[in-house]
Amino acid sequence: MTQQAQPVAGEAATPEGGRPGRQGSEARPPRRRTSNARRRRVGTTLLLATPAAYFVILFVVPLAVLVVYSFFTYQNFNFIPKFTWANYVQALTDPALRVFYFRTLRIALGVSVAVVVVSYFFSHILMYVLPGAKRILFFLVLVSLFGGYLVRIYAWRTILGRDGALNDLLIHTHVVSHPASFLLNSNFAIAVAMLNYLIPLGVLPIFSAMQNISPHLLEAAEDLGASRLRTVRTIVLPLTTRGLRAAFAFCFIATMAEWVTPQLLGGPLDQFVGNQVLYEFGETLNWPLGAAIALTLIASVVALLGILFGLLRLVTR
Amino acid sequence: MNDSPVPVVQMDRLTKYFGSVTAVGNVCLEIREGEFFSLLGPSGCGKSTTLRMVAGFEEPDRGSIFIQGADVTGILANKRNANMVFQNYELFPHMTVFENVSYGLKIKRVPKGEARRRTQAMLETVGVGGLENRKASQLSGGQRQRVALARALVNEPAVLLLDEPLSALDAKLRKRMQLELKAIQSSLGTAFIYVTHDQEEALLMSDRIGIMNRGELLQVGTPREIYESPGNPFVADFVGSLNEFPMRVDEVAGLRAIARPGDGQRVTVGVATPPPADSVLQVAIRPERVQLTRGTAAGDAGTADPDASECRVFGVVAEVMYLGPLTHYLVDTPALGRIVSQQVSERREASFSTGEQVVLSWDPEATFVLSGPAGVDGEAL
Amino acid sequence: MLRRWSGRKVGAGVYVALVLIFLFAPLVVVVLISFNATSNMNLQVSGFSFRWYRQIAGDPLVVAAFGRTALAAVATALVSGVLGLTGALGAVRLTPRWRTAVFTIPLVPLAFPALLFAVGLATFYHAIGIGFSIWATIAGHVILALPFVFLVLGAALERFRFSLLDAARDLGAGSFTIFRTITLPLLRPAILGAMLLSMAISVDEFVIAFFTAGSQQTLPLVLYGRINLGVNPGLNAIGSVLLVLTMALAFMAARVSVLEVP
Repeated sequence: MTQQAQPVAGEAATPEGGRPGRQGSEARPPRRRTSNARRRRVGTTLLLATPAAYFVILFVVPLAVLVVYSFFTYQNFNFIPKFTWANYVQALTDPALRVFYFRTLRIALGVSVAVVVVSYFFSHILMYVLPGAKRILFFLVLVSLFGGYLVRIYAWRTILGRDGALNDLLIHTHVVSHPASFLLNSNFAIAVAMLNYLIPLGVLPIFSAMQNISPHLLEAAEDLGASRLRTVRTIVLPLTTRGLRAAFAFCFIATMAEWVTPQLLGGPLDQFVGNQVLYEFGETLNWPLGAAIALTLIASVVALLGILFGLLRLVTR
Repeated sequence: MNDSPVPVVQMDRLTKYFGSVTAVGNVCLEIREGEFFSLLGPSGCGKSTTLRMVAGFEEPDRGSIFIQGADVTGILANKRNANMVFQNYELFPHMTVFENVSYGLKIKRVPKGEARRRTQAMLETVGVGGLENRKASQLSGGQRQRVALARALVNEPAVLLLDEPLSALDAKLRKRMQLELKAIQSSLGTAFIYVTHDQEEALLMSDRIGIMNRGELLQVGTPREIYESPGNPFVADFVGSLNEFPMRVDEVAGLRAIARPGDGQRVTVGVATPPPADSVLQVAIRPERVQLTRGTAAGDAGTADPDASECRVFGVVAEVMYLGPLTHYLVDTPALGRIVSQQVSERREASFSTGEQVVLSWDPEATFVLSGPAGVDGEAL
Repeated sequence: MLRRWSGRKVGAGVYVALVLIFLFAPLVVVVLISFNATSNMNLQVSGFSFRWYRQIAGDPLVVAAFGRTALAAVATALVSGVLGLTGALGAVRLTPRWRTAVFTIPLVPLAFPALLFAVGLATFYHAIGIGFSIWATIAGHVILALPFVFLVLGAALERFRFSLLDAARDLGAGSFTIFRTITLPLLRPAILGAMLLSMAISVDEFVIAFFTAGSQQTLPLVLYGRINLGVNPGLNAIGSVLLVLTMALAFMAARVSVLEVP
């Protein structure tokens, strides 16, 4: 008989009796083979279904609930399941929110670009200038990745404070005569801390993309006469765009939705959109509004990324 | 002779160490204009390293390289007038075929019109005309190979370096490409340095072959020279196949060493200098030079065959391996052990069968002495 | 490429050093100050002391939070490990196209902003009437850890020699036996590595815990709560503990999964 009882690929989905011509012309297939295939199919489905179910219930559903809640009405420090557009209207038109938004956008863009640039040079050096130390340097970056999130932000708070380590150093080396108070509670602090925990995350995709370029490919370019700079420009860069895009997208999404860093390192005028979401969820208990703000935020991020990458593609082709 | 033209490539005592290993040791070689030269040897023999040194991707620890008479030893790869076809082709995946092939021209700032003309002409020459706008990932293995070739050749280098370019292709395609490469090389007249471990390929395509082993360049010569007059045991064994056996010299007659293993048998070997009597020589002969006739010891012993250059060894056919156009007969001989004889396949009735008693003979000129007492070592006629 | 651009290398070395210093400086500072004998928050180290560690060790709130963090880590590892393993095993029998889909979809939470997911979870729990607790947090952590588990297992399965399973079957082994005696042992380093990684992620996780843990605070939450009361080396001690824990787990994960059975 045929080997079709062994389900590789989508054959598992083909019904056993789906080939009437075949079956008719030969003796009836032994029952065992059919049930074997079916058992495997059931087994595969079950195996996949478990994590899939978990994923749907605890990821997709909560997001759906969030969307639903964003349409609820806020009333007396509580909210009721009454449908309204008010939250979205407010999210999109509130002038105060707009200020928050553009402030967040400004810093997020700046930090994301900075991370990508720094990470790119870093990865390039690791791959092509100091290839001997490549492994250990990358390892170090990975290690720093697990240096924590909150701990880092807290660390910068201690370093940048009036009697913190940095000021200490500056006074000691006579760069300034009294503590610089601008360091903390400022955009500067926020940016520095975000850079600090995002750079390892930027190096990862960029370095991996570079690693995937065969060194012989670069030799080929050199053989055809390309200088180093040209090789980087015409070969390395185009082949690492996917990594660059991933790094940028990741940083941008993360920074736009940030709230911990601004809260702990920024002043009252430095708060991000995320902080407003926190406020609605925590203080005013206006969950619907918080949800609406969060959702419009992510929608705008996706839209912006889409536009940005679309433009990029237009420009490079 | 009178005026020998400047060789395209000259390697002078080229040496490269990797740690304590001598990857390439004192290689001196000249590649002539327009010739198809193969570097042949087993993996790890240093042929690829040598090629890469010519290309400029490895720096020699000692020695120099000249291309068209100019010393390029210290010059970077991108400034040399040599181009390479890589083993895995290394086509730029994000560029079209056209962009790949014209890459080198663009760097040399060849005007767009001319670049386009040359690129298209070269693509036609290698047989992929019309595929200019495809991306490298959309091509088959054979097509990629040709594009890689075009990309290198379009720059009109003084010499083309090929690093086992056909090793990734299947047998039939490879055979076709061998012929095509040879044709392209003849029509363009560019010197090719071709690295391979496949001796048949080298014999087929090359004007001259250089055999390397463990970093040493053992012999350089035409395919015929290499095959028929191997300069040392390694070369003899590496190119083509060999029967090997030891023999004790019973008699020396001029440039013939003779052994008489008994029963009227006679083993005659050609030597360059007469060896002392009773010395032991390690002899080799190619299977296709071993002749087979029917006969037995009993039947022949009486027949007087006074011709001094005749060999006569008795044996029994142990195995017959039918290979299509050729047949290999594995013959067990009491005197010399197992000897393989290669014959053009006969009709079934005429060919030998297992268990048959046969007589082996050969022309003493066809033998090589692989080793023996000093003065005879590794010599052949 | 064979070049000796020494000047370039020096410059590059400086750049790399600066970046690495920037990345590690905060961590080093936290740890250093945590050993400060006085309550100075700067690097004027006036003496080495464990006092802050003793202090937090005696603080019941901190100890309880540490316990919860540990619980969350282990639970996250176990759940995400099992889920990841079943998913990966199911996925191997699919066509490459479906297989890549199965392995990439769980990666979505990676790029997803934590804030959004956290408030989503909060509304979800509210909607179904489940109160906030450490278990609510664990459920969220598993989603965060799944991508990494899938990544590690995916890589391991890529290298997996399925022909070994055929050989076992040829010798008469049934499916479960094959799983128990061949698949599982060969995948063990990857599974362990993935679980350790999940633990590292859970220990350090803050945003989801913030929104879903309620009064059952994890260690990062305790740290957060006290930051707003002012910084002091005691907090550095907490921070150092978190730091060391996460790094140790990540380091172990790397070591374990590299010890592949060839």
